[in-house]
Amino acid sequence: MDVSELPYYPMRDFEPLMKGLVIGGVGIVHVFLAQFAVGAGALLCYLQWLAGRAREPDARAFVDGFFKTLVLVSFVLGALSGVAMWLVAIQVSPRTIGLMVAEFHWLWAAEWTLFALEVVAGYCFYRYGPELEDAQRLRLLVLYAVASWLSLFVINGILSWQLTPGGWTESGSLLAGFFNPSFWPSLLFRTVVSLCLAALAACLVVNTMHALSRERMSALIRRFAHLLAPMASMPALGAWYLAILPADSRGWVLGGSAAMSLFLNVAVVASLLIGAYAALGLWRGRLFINAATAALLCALAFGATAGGEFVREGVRKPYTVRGALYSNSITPAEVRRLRATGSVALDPYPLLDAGRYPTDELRRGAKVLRFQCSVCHTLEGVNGLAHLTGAWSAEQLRLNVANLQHTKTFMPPFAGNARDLEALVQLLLWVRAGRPGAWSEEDDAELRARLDRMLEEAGTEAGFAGAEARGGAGR
Amino acid sequence: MTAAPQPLDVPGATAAYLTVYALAWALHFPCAAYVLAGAGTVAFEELTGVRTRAGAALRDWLPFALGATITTGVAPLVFVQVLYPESFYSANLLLRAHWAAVVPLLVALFYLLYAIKGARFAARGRAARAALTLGVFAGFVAVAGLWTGNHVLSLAGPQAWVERYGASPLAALPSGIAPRLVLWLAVAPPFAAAIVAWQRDGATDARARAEWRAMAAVAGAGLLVAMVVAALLAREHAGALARARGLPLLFPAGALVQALAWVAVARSARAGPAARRALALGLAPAVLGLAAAREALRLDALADAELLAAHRRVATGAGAAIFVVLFLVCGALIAWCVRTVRRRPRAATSGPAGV
Repeated sequence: MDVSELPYYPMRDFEPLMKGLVIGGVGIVHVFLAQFAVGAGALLCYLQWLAGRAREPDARAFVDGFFKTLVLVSFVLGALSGVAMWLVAIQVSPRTIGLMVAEFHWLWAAEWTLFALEVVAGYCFYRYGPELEDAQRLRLLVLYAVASWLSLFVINGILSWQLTPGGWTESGSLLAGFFNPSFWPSLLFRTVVSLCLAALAACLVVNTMHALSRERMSALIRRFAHLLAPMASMPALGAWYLAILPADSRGWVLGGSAAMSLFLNVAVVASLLIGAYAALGLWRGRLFINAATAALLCALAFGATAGGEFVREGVRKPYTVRGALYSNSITPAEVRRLRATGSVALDPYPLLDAGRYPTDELRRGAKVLRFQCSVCHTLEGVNGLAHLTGAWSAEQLRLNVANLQHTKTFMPPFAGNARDLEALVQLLLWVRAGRPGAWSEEDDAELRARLDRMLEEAGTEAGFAGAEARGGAGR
Repeated sequence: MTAAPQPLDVPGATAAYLTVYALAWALHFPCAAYVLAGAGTVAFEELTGVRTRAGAALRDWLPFALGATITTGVAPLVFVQVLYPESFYSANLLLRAHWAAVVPLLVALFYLLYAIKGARFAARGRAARAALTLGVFAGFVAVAGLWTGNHVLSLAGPQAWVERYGASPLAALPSGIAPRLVLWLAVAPPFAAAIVAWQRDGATDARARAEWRAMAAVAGAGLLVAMVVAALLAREHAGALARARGLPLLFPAGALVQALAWVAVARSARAGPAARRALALGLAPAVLGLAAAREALRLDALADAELLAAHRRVATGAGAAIFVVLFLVCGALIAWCVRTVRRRPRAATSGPAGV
């Protein structure tokens, strides 16, 4: 593929929001709902099994009530947030979703058959469950639970492949990519999280069943608490997951990136609080969970999910698919070619605000920003380049952008030539100067030669590779 | 690569993906038609005060139908990205502001479909009920229009995308969607009616007979309008459709079978087993014919050697085998679920209370 084949898409920014926040927000809601649905399947099977054996008198009534919640929350919002994920992923990075679809479309289609089974079994239970015998109810619920967990199994393989593609990198093998190094720890961790979410949501729902006395609610809550027991395995699973991560990714969460470390801590602390409440309150103290407490625990679980998903997305940097596609949707091979040709000369899409820039160089800089930076940065909004680089001198800007992958090893290498680099630098200086109406163009052959040398010295490999060679992985 | 003798005259990998896409779309589209026509029927009933058994069935099943529409829509959404990634992504990006409205709109519509089944809704005044159900119907028409606009824009090509990019993000949907949207809206009532015919009870009283005749008239009118619009589109795109080697003719053939079945229903004022089978028999080829015509036009606009080579590159045997096995297993299990609930004891209520 030569550069002329590189597809330019009609990207728009979300300023003042950055694109990552948009997909992160939708993604966290979707993951929370989807994992709740998976865990709910297991919880409902357990309770229906108890009902069938007359071991919990209110289990059957609870199953019917809980299923309404499941349908109204998960089947509607979960399904539509899934659609939203597709649409937002396209808006943020069509090349990333395109690569994922190109590699895994058959598995996604296989997951669709499981999703269809999940929906049909679920709706059959929802609509006719009260009329069915216990054994039939249990069979429908088992089908629902197995299908939903297998959906998680498939999606987990695709998502974990992005971070640790494993043997796929060399062989291109579908199964090597699917059963990648982080597949199992990620799957087991998500399964435990799913059970936990379902148990906490059940504590909330049972409080809406006003026909039940407090003692009968307590009896059910103690049953729900059984699904919190696997939380005890979370530290081990988390440690396993961390150990599997590439060294540079592990470095981000262990202090290399303040934001990622912070979000990891949010996830860990929120999980610890839930786990501690479960251990001390439910098993030892046999505490009753009222609606307010249950809602608070669900909110903590949402925080833990949000923190965990942020970390999962973040540790892939500087890639969206490790080794194959950088976070700005440029492949390593394209970086090398764009260094020679420039990155935006062939971009057919005009700037929407071209008139605001007094020079062609600034317009080029704005295009470079749109093409290379806008997936994670805005100009002056969230994670704005003008703020991040506000204290740098012009020369520091040139040096740091040319050495982008070494300046911050979670950044991809700069994928353009000296003209692109200087255009971006001038854009940032112009914004810092208050966007004056007149701005001189830098057309200095000596400067361009110097920038060429900087870019050459920086190389085109990812920054962590050099850091590892120097013995400082991840820093 | 030499073109293999495939029905759409494209290489094997492309033909395989097209086949799966068309079959998946053929599952999705009748569900979408049911939702569109169902929402329209409910709105009509609230506006006029007329109440029919078909309307009651539609109202009862609309939330599930929307769930089924979304579920069955996932597979076409995956395979359209395999078949036409660049054009599909470009159109989506260009319609970002519109898409941003669609998901919240669908969430609201989903909950409203549950709401209009409930007692609280029934207790409201007729004007409020009519306004709400009209709004729901308009919402679904808007979603259909957006998907059609996305499709038309994806066919327009790079120059049109660049021009569109420079326009306002809220610019109107591209011109050219009108005939296609009219076609989809026209086939929705007969396709939905074919499904409703299987859902209706076996009542043969005077009211039931009048309803069957009315349903036959609406379905027949829909088929007539659809045939006229389809003929106009076919005349406009005759060259591209010729590439599909007769497959688009499945649509008029299926529509004809359905039309004859509706004539029989109108005459006998009931939909007996034979008529219902004929309606189902006509539905399948009609939908597949529409899918074939749609893809023939899209291939004509977008397919080049690079795109066909991309299909060959991404084709994998292992993944396809996993899909086929799971499709068969899950299909059998879905059939088991349906059989289980159909054989349940019939004494109790049908449907959960309060939702």
